[in-house]
Order: sequence, then C-alpha cells, then structure tokens
Amino acid sequence: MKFGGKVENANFPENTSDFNSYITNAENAGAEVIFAPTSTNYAQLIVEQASAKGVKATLMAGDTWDSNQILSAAAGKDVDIKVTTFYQEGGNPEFDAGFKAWLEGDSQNLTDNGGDAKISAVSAMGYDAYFTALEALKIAGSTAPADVMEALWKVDFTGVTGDIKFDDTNGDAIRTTAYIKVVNTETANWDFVKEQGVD
Amino acid sequence: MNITLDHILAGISAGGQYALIAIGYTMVYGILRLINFAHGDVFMVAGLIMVYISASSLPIYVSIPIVLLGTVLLGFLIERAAYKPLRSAPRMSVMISAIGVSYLLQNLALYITGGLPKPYPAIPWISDSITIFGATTKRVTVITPVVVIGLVVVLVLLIQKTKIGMAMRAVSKDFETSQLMGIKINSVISVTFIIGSFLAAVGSLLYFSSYQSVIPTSGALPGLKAFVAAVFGGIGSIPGAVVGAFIIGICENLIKASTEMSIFSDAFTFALLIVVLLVKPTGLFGEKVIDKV
Repeated sequence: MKFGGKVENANFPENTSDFNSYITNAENAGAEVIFAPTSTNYAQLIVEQASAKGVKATLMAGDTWDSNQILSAAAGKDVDIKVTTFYQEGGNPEFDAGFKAWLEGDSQNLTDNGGDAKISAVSAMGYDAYFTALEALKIAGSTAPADVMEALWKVDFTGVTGDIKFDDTNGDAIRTTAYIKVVNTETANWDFVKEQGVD
Repeated sequence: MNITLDHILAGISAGGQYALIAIGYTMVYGILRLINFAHGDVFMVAGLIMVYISASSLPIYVSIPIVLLGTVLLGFLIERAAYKPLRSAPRMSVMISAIGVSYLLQNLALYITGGLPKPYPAIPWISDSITIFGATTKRVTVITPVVVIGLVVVLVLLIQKTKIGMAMRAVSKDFETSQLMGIKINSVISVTFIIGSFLAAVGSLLYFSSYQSVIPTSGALPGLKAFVAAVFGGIGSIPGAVVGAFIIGICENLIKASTEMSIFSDAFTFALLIVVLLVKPTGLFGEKVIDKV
C-alpha cells in the first residue's frame, strides 16, 4: 500500500464536454490516479476521452460512478476504472432477487435503470433510506415532523446495505466500510476488488 | 502552464465546430435581423437523430444522409411555423419566439430521452485515435478544420456566384426593396435556414464524434459560444463568424491548459462578448451601417 504523493486540483465549468485539456494536464503532470467524482453525464465523456487518449492513469470515483452508464462507456476500451460504493450485488440475495423481479416486470423500469437489471448501489441505498424513514416514523409514533426528527437519532436496524445507525454528536451515519469495485472492460460488468475499512 | 500541441489541436477542433454553428447564426441575422436562439438546439436534435437512427442498426452511409435531411427539415419547419407568421411583428416578438422554440426543443428532447445521457455512436474511421507529432488525439480533431474550411469556401462561392446567393445578399442589404424588385422572399429565407441547419448537422456529426454523449442541454453552451463567435467576428459576415469561432476555440483551450484558470474558460468567452460590444460593436469584420437622412 502506497502512502504520500502530490495532489493536483482541477475544476471545470458546468456543461463542459471537452475534457481533453484536463486529461492532457493530468498526463503532463505524471498523474497515476485521476479522481473524478462527477455525475454520470460527465463520467461518460471523461471515460471515453481518456481511453481515446490512451491514458495510463487509473480513473477513480465515488459511488456516483456505480452505474450502467459507466459500464457501457468503458466496455471494450483500455481503461482502468475503480469506484468505491456501498453495496455489492450478492450482499443481500433476497433484496437482489426481489429488486430484479421488479425491474424485469416492467420495461420502463429496465430503461430507467440504464437498460438492464444490474443493481447499482444507489438503488440499494434508496431502498434503505425509505425504510430508515419508516423506522423513524414507527419510533416516533406520529407523523409530526418534529417528532420524526427526534426519532431519527434513535434509528437502529439492519438494512440491505448493512447496519443503519447515527452517531450522537452530528447525526453522521456510523458506516466504516465501503466496497471497491473495478470495471471489467471485457464483460462490461463490475468485479469486486475488496472491502475497504477506515482503520 | 504547459501548453502542448494537444491543447492547440483541441482548440482548432473546437473552433471548427463552433464555426459551423456560428455561420447559421450569422446568416439568419444578416437576412432577417433575427438571433435564432433555437439554432444550438437544432444542433442537439441532429445529434439525437443520429443516436436513434443508429440504434436501429442502419449502415453509416444511410444514417448520415438521414441525419442531414432530418435536421434540414427541422430548420425549415421551425422557420415556417415560428418565424414566418411574425415577419411583420416587432423584432422582439420574433426573438421571444426563437427562445420559445429553443425551450420547446430542449424539453421535447428531455421527454423523449428521459434525461439520461445518450452515448453517441462511433463513426468508423473518424473516431479512431491517431498520433500526430507525439500528441494522441482522435482523427476527427484533424478532419474538422479541413471540413470547415471546405464548406466555408463552398458557401462563399455560393453566395458570390449564384443567383440565389445574389438574392440572399440583396435581401440582407434591404428587405423591402428586394421584395419590390421581385425576389421571392420566402424562398430566400427558407434557403438560408436550410443552409444553416445543414451546417449545424455537419457540425453535430463532428462535435458528437469528439464528445460522445448527448443530453438535452448539449446544444445550449456550444450554441451560445457560437453566437458570441458570430458577434465577435461581425454579425452578418460569414468569414467573420469563422475567424471568431476559431479564435474563441483556441483561446478557450489555452485557458484550460492552466490548472488555476481552467474554470474560467467559459467566463473568458462571455467576457469577450462584453468587451467586443463595448469596444467594437460591429465586430472584427462587421460593416458600419450608415443611415442616410
């Protein structure tokens, strides 16, 4: 495991489509990693342009890149993309089966999911967010917003993505693991790399 | 700041793409005194047409003509439906109509695509990566300026040497008198929109081959920059629009080469617009209109 190194920043204005100059700058600076926590709109362009330039650096991002758009943009190309995410397909088989059945039940659902039934982490987290709210409502016993706010601090249950609990100081989620996935450009699928803890 | 050949090539390519859109703006303004705000979105629709046509797996040499035809038809229909009925209305009304068409196109695209970015199909040979003097880029980056210059030369020849070109020049000099002289105004205006939309369609083929993703707002920013290029070069002048577009494309990419200033690349273009209007409102190649009393 390597520590240390230099970080260079770059910002782009909204609605940029041309990332060639930014990628060139990164290459000229000798970057080993390009960390691009952007939305999938820009991600498609960045992946495509980076592969056209033959960039050797690894592209990394947070869980916004955990989506079918990235898989289809990277399929068949020579890029190394690693993302951290909060759910890996297979973590909760019951949820996986139920969600896939719902996706395949209606073609509109499949289209909204990016064209196929791969489960992205944001779907699982949305599911958990809904049930967290439901838990808070159960604990509060009423639908008054102030009561639900109070009850949120006390929520403690096991959702699809793991234990859901908030700490007492700021209400931050107590979540110490993330999963790292890499794009398999041949199968256009995610390959699990490892679980990453905070220690 | 490390300016390499990469940046300059990217700038020339971007400039060429803006030039194709800017010609459409400048021609329509020259003839109708109308800023066709919908032009950038016609450019985006051309990209979407290509996405959907190629999804139905037609060969490339069939889909490209369909895209060109479809865009030309769209430009023609917009003119007939949204601008022709307002020809005798005050200039502000037509401009509002243009803005309305722009929003209509964007929202229709949003409805049809669902808002997700659509990957643009790779046109074989144009999208291949090539290496020039050590800079890796796509072939389309090098083809763009050549295609643009070629089309501009053809267009200038058309305007200077053909009858319809003479009619277009006459109408842009004096709208009412040309009508009195027997020039069919409707044909001239339709031809202007057809040429403009054709160039926008070619521009979209080149642009989306470089940046292979289409969202409903893909046309807004290039359209705006092309408009600035047209104003900078002298609105109403075709060579001016092309020169202005190349200058904006190159400067924008040179600014992106510097890591601290790269976020201001768009701001530069719009600041340039303000400076041009303050210092030389007729633009680089514009003509001063002398009002004789």
